[in-house]
Amino acid sequence: MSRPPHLPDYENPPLTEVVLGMQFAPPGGYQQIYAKEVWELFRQDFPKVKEQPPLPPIFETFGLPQGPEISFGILEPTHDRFWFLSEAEDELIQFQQDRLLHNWRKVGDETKRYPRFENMIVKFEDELKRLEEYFTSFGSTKLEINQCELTYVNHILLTEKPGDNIDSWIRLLHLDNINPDNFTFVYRKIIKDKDGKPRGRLICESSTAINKSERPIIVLNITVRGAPQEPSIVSAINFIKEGREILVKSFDEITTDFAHEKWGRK
Amino acid sequence: MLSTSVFSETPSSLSNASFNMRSLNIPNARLIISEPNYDWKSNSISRLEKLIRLSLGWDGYNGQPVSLENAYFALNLLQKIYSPDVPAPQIVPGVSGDLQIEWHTHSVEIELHILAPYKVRAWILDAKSSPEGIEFDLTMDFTEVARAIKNLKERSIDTAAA
Repeated sequence: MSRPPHLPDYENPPLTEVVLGMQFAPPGGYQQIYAKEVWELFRQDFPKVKEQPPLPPIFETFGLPQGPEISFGILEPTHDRFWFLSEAEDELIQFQQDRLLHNWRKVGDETKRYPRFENMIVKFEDELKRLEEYFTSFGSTKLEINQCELTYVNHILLTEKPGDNIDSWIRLLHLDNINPDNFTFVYRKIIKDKDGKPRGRLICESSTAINKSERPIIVLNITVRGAPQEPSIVSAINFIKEGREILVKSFDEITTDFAHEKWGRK
Repeated sequence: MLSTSVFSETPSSLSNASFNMRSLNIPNARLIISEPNYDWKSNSISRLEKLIRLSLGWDGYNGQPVSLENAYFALNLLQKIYSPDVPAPQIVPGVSGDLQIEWHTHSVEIELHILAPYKVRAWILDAKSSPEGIEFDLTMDFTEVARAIKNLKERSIDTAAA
């Protein structure tokens, strides 16, 4: 699989983490005690394991335009989440009874380059197929995927140089001489199909933060999430591929020409 | 809310110093400017918590508790169709992990049968526009239901004025 030539591309993007994820109906007959068998499917490349609290189910739905949505709180999921980590801990698979996610993250001296979406999606599709084969091997059904997610986490380093302000990097902000100590913004945008019907959401979140070297950064998270047209792996992978194009174009629109130059836009 | 991102769950990777990190660490959180809701939120959550903990055979036969994914989908749906001043819905369990969300007034009736996430059978009766009731399937777009909820509110105001 090769990168679509029309997509914006950067020599050195500020990407620090990528998440590919699927949510599916809990397979019939599966119980948490089988989680070790799932780890065995991936253990050769992911020899370390960590337990994490479960992710609650999440769904993108649509209604009339309205003001701030009321938060309806959280019910308690029951199955733990497991991280299966690579030796270097720069890649991991997250698994719980209704989720499979594959993360890449920049770790260590942060010089290791992003393995690129084209490689990650091929790996992830293979991991989904292996999981589906495992579930069907003990009589459960194929994966019924109900939600797909792609997230890019960017850390944009701010310097002490004069003129290196938040709005030098983020096009949406025109702060002029305000120079705020910090900021936070979130916007959500409906993704529509060719008939104008909603099929997912783009969620963009940004805020100032301090990285582990105690240096100020802008964190820019962009997520595309929605339901695949069909609950199959093929359809879900297609959603992620289309979502990736939307996400990368949005990143290019949100960030400034100054930023593009710094990151070596091709 | 927990995140699928690993960095956002690793406090050592980002320190918040004097900056406001709330939205960074809780990427799915929504900013609540005011708290407009009254009964929907507390009633729906407490009811759904009860329904997901029903014991197997709760109906005297083989009735299953409401599935967690259906309960979450129901909450998500309710967020999208919420309208102030409309009474909280009744939430009724099905026997296969499914559930129904219902409003019944003398002029508008709404029933949403959640069979699975993105698999909803809707029935709406509006004494003015659809006195026989209309039935249709929904997946992710609940605009029609949100409109019916608004009608329910307006009909209630009309009735009160009369």
